[in-house]
Amino acid sequence: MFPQLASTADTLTKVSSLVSGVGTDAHIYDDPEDGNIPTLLASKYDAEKAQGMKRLIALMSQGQDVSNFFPQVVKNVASQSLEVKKLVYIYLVHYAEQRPDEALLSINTFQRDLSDINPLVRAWALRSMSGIRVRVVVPLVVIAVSKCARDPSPYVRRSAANAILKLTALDHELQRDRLEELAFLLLSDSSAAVVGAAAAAFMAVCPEHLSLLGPRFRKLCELLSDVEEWGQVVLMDILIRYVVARYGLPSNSAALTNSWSQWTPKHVNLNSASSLDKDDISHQTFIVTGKGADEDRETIATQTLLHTKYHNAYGSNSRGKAVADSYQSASSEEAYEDNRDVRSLLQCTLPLLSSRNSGVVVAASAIHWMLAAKQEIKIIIKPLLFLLRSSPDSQYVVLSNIAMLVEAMPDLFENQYEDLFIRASDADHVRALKLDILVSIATESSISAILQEFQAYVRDPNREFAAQTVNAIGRCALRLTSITSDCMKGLLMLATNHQNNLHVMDETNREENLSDRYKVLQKSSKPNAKKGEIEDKYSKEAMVVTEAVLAISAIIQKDPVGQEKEFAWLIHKMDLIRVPAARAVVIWMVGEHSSVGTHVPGMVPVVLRYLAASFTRESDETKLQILNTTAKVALRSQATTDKQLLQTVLLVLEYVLNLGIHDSNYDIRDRACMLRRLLICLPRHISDVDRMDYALSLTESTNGSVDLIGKMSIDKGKKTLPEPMDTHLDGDPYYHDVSTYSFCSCTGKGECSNVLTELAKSILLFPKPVPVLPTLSAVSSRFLLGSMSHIVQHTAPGYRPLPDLRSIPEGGSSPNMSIMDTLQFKSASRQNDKFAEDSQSTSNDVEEENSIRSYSAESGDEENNYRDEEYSDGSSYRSRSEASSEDEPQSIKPARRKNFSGQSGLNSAVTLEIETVHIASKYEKSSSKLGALISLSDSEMGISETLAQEELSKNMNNTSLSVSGLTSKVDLESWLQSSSSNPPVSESNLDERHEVPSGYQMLSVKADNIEPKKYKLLDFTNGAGLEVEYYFSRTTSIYSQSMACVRLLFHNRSSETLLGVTVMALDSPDSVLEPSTSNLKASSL
Amino acid sequence: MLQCIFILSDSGEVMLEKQWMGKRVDRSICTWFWTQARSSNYDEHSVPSVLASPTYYLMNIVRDGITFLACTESEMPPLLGIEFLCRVADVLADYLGGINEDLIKDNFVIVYEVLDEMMDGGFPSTTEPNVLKELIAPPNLVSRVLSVVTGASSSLNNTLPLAMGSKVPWRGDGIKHSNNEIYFDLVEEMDAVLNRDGFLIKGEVYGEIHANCRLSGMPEVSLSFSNPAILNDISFHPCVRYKVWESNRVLSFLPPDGAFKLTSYRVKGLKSTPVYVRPQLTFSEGICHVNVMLGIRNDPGKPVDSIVVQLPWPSTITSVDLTANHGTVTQNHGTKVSTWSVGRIPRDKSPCLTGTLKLQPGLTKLPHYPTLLVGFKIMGATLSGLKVDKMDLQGESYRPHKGFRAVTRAGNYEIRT
Repeated sequence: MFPQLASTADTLTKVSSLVSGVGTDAHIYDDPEDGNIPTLLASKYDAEKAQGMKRLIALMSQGQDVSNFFPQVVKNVASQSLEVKKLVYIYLVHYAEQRPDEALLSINTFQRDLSDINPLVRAWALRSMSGIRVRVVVPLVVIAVSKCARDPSPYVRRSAANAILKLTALDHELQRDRLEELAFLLLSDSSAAVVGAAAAAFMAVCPEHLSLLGPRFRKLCELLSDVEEWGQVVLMDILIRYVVARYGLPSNSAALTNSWSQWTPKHVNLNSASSLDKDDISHQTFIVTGKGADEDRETIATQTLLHTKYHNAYGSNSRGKAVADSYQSASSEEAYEDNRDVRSLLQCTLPLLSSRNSGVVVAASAIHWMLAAKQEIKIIIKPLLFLLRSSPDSQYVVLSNIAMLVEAMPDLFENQYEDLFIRASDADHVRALKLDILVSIATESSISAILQEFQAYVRDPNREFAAQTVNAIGRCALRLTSITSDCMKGLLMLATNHQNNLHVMDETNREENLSDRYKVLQKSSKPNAKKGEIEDKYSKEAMVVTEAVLAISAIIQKDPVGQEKEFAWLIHKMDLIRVPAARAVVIWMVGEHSSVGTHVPGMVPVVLRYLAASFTRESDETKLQILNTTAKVALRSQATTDKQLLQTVLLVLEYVLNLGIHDSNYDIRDRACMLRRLLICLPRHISDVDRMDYALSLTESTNGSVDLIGKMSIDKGKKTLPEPMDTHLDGDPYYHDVSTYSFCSCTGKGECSNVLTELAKSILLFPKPVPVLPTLSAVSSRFLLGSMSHIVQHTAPGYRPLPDLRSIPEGGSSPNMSIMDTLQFKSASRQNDKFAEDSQSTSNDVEEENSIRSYSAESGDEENNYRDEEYSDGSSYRSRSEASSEDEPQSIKPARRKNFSGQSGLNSAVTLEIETVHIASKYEKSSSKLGALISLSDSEMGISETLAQEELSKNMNNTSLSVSGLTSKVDLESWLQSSSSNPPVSESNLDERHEVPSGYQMLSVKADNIEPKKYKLLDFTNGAGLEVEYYFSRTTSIYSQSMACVRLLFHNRSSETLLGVTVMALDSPDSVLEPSTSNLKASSL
Repeated sequence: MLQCIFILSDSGEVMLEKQWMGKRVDRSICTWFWTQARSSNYDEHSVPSVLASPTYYLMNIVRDGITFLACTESEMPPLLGIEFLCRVADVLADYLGGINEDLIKDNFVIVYEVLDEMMDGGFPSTTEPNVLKELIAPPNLVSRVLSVVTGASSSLNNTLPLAMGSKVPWRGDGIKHSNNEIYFDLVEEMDAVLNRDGFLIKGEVYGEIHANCRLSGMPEVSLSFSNPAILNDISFHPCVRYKVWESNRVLSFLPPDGAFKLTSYRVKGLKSTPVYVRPQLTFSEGICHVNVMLGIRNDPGKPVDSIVVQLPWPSTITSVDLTANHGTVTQNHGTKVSTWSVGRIPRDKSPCLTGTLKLQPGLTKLPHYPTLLVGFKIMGATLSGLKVDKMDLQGESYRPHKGFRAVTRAGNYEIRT
């Protein structure tokens, strides 16, 4: 109300602060320890308690650890004052994880509060209770959640949905089936306020059970506009996933035809899944794909042509025509239904395009982008561009999403270029994105306006930005041929005209430039502000010139003949370009295009002579290029009949190589030596030439060049000459070396030199592709629109690609399949619980554990009852499916699990898990056992992993175990205590029961959202791209005395395949954990 | 989903932290962020709004020097985080009457309570300002004095907000006001880019309609414009009925109680600007002569107020010496920005800024040119020409007081030299 007063409170005297700060908590934050906190907390007056709590929270927010007050605070949880309660809750939730035992004391009060008549109190109690991150109370919280999920107040029900989120974050697997149930119940809530939060809970708990949404789909679509904006974002994500999983994508969807990579990795997952359960008919839902991404594309491409409206699954190869045919027949009769669901989603998201919330607009745009027909996508353009103005904080994210759309469909934004013009207030990263987008959307009609704008940017005082603009101009010129010559002129001016100021900078910096190392030293040791500024300025200015020259070189390379005049002009003005990097590029161009056109070949000898003369004064970068260029020209001129030319070139070459060999920079020396050996056949001709003539002609030529170019004084030219000549005559080792070689080659006559010449030609003169000017911001459309992964350009943990197209069965609305899945999952988890109980029976904290387990059993029963009531239809499915799951062959299960883990995968890194460190020696003797010690689990499967997995299976098991056999057996064996050396997979019920949980346990650790603390074993910088991390998993190992279980995580961070990764244990010399080698393909990271 | 939020002062000090879910995020991440923000990669504290640190994904916004920083470990829509931070900043500014270090520290308990209510389990929960205000009373002098006198200082309401029980999430049943009134503010910002020849490259108006509604019951308000066709882009508060707008171009809505932003819109393709600024730079022997003329071009009908011209000089200039015949000129030597505050243009003379700049030795003329930024304010006029036709109220029997105001400011008003 009186911000002026309040804001000055700090600076004024204490008296005035007393006046303005009446009743505020200013004094508490500034001086929290003023006053005895324990006394305040123990006071019987609420006001004093509140006072004490405020002081605690002030300390807390200043970063101090005040958890030692926990016992005193917990007592106050029962306070009747809402304010004290709230403050205590804030404190409790903050510190409960550190003080789990004391936190338990508060549970009773929470439970009492859950029955309070005030919905606020109920909601707060649940919120705080679920915020206490202590595992022991989870069962209690789950009960509280299920109670609150049926609360009459939507406020409380929403808290219940949020509590599910918190529980899932604490432990993804704890009571998961129960939470799934509750999430779905809340998602069916009638209040829009609840549905939003429930959608988030659903995505957190069971994103893979999309099929459950079937009957609710329409209702959710209709509710969409009433849900609060945050819920809208999440709900839209669920709905689009459902539609994709149910109906696939329309054949004319823009997303489908453009950004393949969004799902290609996923198909390959399916590959492996399908290979695991060849006999499982019920797995038809998982459509099988071909051998790789490429084939997929083909399939889609052909099918896009074939089918008129919606494209049918990724079928037709490997799993065969049958699947594809079945869809084909289904598609015609389903087209209508299909259209209606899809259309209602599109219809319901239409209003959201004009939401005030940028997140909603982008999410709605993503739906239209994927589902709408190409011609209808245009409606997303304006809302997206409007966001750039209406929500400036989102600008960066929105722009990078636009960049992705533009990459896929450049014509989408082609008329909207004005909206993407850069404002003076734009930050650097925003400018770069805008420039990139402008380049991509430029067309013949819009380019003139865009170029005009670019011209203004080049004058900008922000020189980095100017350099980026030059790069953008270059890319425009390469893209649109009609403007190439205009751009070329501008670029040439830029490259040469900047010298006005560069010249000055140049001279001041010249001395320092003599030795780079010296410069660096100087910079680091004496941070001279003034000089640093100038140097900074200089380097930024140089960036502009370099970018201009790079752009010119790309344009010339694209069309050397057509751009000959410009090239010739550039050569003329070469001396104006003083920036080493830019100058090197110009010289490189001379070497590349020395024989192109009519003017240039005539200029080349002159240029070479000039360069030779100025060689000693050039920078290292340019020296290297002078060497290269001379060599190239020499090789080319071999074929000419012009003796004069040839002789000049050879003389220059000889001269330059000599200089190079004696250069202070080892790179240049090496280059010169290499070229000398490579061009061994060339100097032969010179051997005839009289030494004196040689020297004279060289002097002449140098002087001539000086005359021609008129940039160098004759004195200087002469001064440079004697030195190298002397060394030459002195007979330095290099030269002798070479002459012996040349002698050899002379005697060898022919072959050797011919081969070398050919070699030199293929090394130096091979046709270079037109360089692609780099984009300013790395944007690729590997990820879904609007995702975090897209912004950071790597797969974020928890990122889920779109579900597999049509992975939800076609037939009917009853999601038969998925309920079976769910139930199998549940039975597995329940068995798992029991098993865990058994296995940990020796540990100390088993009592606590036991209480949880028994609890879970109880709650499980409760839930069964509840389900029977709620879904009378469902129960029949349930019993049927339970029966079937019992009967199912063992091999299906790993496959199922694979599928789950693939969907809930955390990252795409290839993860091999190797269990156990200490291994009883008996296990190491038989090779078949060795394989069994290694269990594979995958966070997300990709091509690489499938390969690696197969590789492993081959290597490890000489026996012809299939991958599925391997996995199941491994799990089985690692969990069974039996040490028998012949463990045939027994089919008995007992074994089967044990097998399921063990595999599941593996999964549970991986799918966990809580990252265990990892230790780095090998950094990828040292390990040639291989990164190895390890952590102690919570599972107990039965192979080691210490029962410690270590997991190794291998990440391939390089872009290449790693071969032969071997793991050995060092402490026991004869124990090799994994005698096998495995190949890690480059992952997408 | 979001794990926590940090509020950082303009010196990088962590003023508040609120953890919502998952493992506790250590404060050290703020240090990492601050070094990023201050590093040379990003000038003038403009880090990208989404950053990937080695451990967390960070989203940040800056309001009045205060940084709001949110962390997450896993995939989530980044815009959800950014929009949430914006909402937090807006709500706090509303509660505290502005955002600065002292205000946040003085009211840290309120901030905690608000944050606790705005997000639960990493997912935004109650974010509507008017609903929040029912839950947590904003601090004001009356309540402060009262708390000192009575000793009870609770800012928490102990009843559930009305809107929570109603079908409409933003409005509760049974709201009663003795004076039924609704006011609309049209706030427009003019964006313009003029090139060195004074030619208008891009001219558009971004506008927002703010409403302050104090109406009883469940009123259906409809607001119609006489020229809705000029609106190029528009976005709405959730209460606006999209279908009605699509078919009739009428804003029909059931308003939330209190102040809210009804719509924002954009009108493109403007052909004229209210203010002209004509800079001239001439060079002689390492000295640059500056002459900036300023005046009204197309009289908007209302006085143009608080005109400010910013001249950010490039770093190649060593000294600045500028004088104006009207208004004041100030220099910031660190950033080399000259600010010319003109105020209102006088009748008798046209304001003019003259002076000289000394260039770095060796330069004969400026290698690159500054872009001038102009600010102004026009009360009572909309430059877009948007006109409110009428406002109707249905569903309730009373006749409300209604009012409209308009103000235009300069947004990105750039003049290239």
